[in-house]
Amino acid sequence: MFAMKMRQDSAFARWRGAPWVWPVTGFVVLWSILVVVPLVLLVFYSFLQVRGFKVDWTFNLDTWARVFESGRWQVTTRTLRIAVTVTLIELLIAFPFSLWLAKACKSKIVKAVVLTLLTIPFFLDVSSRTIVWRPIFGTQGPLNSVLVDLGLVDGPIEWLLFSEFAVHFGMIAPYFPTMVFPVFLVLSLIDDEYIEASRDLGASPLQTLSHVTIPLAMPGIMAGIVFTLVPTMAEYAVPQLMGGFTVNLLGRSVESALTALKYPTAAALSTFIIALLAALLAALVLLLHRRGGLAGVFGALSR
Amino acid sequence: MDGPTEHRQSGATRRNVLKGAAATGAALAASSIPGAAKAADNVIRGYGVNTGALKDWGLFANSTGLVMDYTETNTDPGVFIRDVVANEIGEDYDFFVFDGGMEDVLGPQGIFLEVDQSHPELTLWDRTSTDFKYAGITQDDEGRQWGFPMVNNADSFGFWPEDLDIADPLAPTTWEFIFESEKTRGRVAVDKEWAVTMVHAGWWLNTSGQAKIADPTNMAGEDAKLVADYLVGRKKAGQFRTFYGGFDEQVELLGNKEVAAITCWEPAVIEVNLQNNKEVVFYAFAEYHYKWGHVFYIPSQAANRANLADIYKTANYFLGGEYCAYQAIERGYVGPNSDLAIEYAKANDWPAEHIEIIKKSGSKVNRKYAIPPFWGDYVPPNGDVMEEEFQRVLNA
Repeated sequence: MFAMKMRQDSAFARWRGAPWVWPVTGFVVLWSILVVVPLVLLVFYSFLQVRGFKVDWTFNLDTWARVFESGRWQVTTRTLRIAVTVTLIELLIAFPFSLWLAKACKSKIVKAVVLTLLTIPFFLDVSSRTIVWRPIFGTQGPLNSVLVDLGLVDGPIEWLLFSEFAVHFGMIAPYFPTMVFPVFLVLSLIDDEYIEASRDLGASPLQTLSHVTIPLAMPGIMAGIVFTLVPTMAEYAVPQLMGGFTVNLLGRSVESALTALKYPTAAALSTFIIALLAALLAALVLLLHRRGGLAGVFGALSR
Repeated sequence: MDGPTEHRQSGATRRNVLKGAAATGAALAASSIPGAAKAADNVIRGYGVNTGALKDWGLFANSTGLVMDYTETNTDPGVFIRDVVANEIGEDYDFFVFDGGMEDVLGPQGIFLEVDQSHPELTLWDRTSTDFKYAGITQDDEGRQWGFPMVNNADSFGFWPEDLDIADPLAPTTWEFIFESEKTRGRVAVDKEWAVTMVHAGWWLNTSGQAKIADPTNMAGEDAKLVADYLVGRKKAGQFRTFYGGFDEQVELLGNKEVAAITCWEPAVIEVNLQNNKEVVFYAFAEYHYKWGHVFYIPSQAANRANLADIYKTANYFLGGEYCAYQAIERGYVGPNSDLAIEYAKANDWPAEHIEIIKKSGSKVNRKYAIPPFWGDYVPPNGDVMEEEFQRVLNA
């Protein structure tokens, strides 16, 4: 017993004396104040109600009941569906592009130019980048005019604009860099000797890709998924400009609730989507568990 | 509405805490900055909708000797209420401009000052028509005066006459083009705001005899559900091309011919015609119109302010000919004393066509107001119900 206590005291003393204790503690405190506390308040607010533009401070489940009875919760699932679809499309396009940029492209100048071109969009507001597509995709726009003039279609294609297709299209370009950068960085870190060793052992290119490259690129893929999925779920400008509010997503629904001062409804919608996201990320972590978990994935990179 | 409630002059609101910290910081800073500039005492500060603003505030300065510092906002009632109630911006601003209806919510709460109609600076008040002075958008249900009228209009929809097969675009037309006509199927845009589109649809159902909605501007329970069901049906039938979000979109959708008809503000039609250098689109005169008015409100915090006389002077300016004349030309709006606008235009040698526009604006609004009108209301008591039902329309 005495020996165990001595060991515990010694461990505590080592922990207290460690150089990282205060920065980590400070970060945790700051994170709690800036992130955790607002989230807790958000959840708390969702259990209140608004009547005639005034908040009723009685704790109740009426707001949640109305969110599900009115079908408003469908906005969150639609938003999640579109965000996941856009993220998967981005991954399918960005991964081969990043692989080429990291491994096949030997010219440093080309790499620098491409990376610069990927950065430029961030200098512009997303609304400015998106609104240019409206006159192009419109029924009176040049794309439809060309298609009609060439006889490929009988009349203008209406779903090019103000549709889910248009919303997906509008989101792909702005979020391409957020998927490319983390994947490219991690692929660049993969030692070429692993790939050569795989070939030397007789693996086909596809086997090398699936058994060596992709597992080692997993941290970057996960980062890309998070950096793309989360902001697309909060996206407001693109659904408005390309979807014309015919595609009703979370951002618009929350804004609409706020115009009627229904803060509890906005809080309930936000809480619901945070819960869905948490479930999604938990599923991702469980999936990685088969590969040794997150620590195992990062550990493989460092060898 | 319930009776007046005491406005919570909060002791420990976010604003007061921040003010205390700022005052401490300012005192420290001021003590180290020699000759810190004193704020001008002829500056009048306003916060309100962008369409209430003059494009050139120099006109106001020349006429009143005051300098206008106007902060623009949109017509989002949630943002406005958040700013004036939660953020207590009445501490910093001398007047607010918003669409009528807001006084029903914020007047009894003590956010707005009940105005003094006998103030000596209100030289134009007596001659202003009671239709404007005592309209439902300046007084609450108990007849208390919470504001002064500024400009009015009666909204309908803009359209391309050739797309609707309309030979005479100035003749009376019908809201059927917005909601049910085959000629406009898939080529109509409506407002994304529930406070506008639900109301338009409610009045259409009444006018067309399809339903009896008690009060389309303030729909409860079954009425709101019925109107939402109707809009869902029309949306699924493909009647609507899109729901637009703001003025720029109105101009773009109408100007690009992406839509044949759009429920919009009259300035959007004016803007499209300006872009084309001729009249190509028109603003409908139909079965009903969404009547609205900007109202000048005074925050309760200004009650004992040193520049209260200047605030009333500003309110009086907005009743006058100069403001009304410029609003008529630039936006097609009508002020409460449109005869003064004509007098002003003539006295300042405006072109004859501008004087004609001012006259036409006045007669246009009078013509629309002659139809049994309804006042729009951006803050109806049943707003939460209407907003909830409208979500089904957007989700359909």
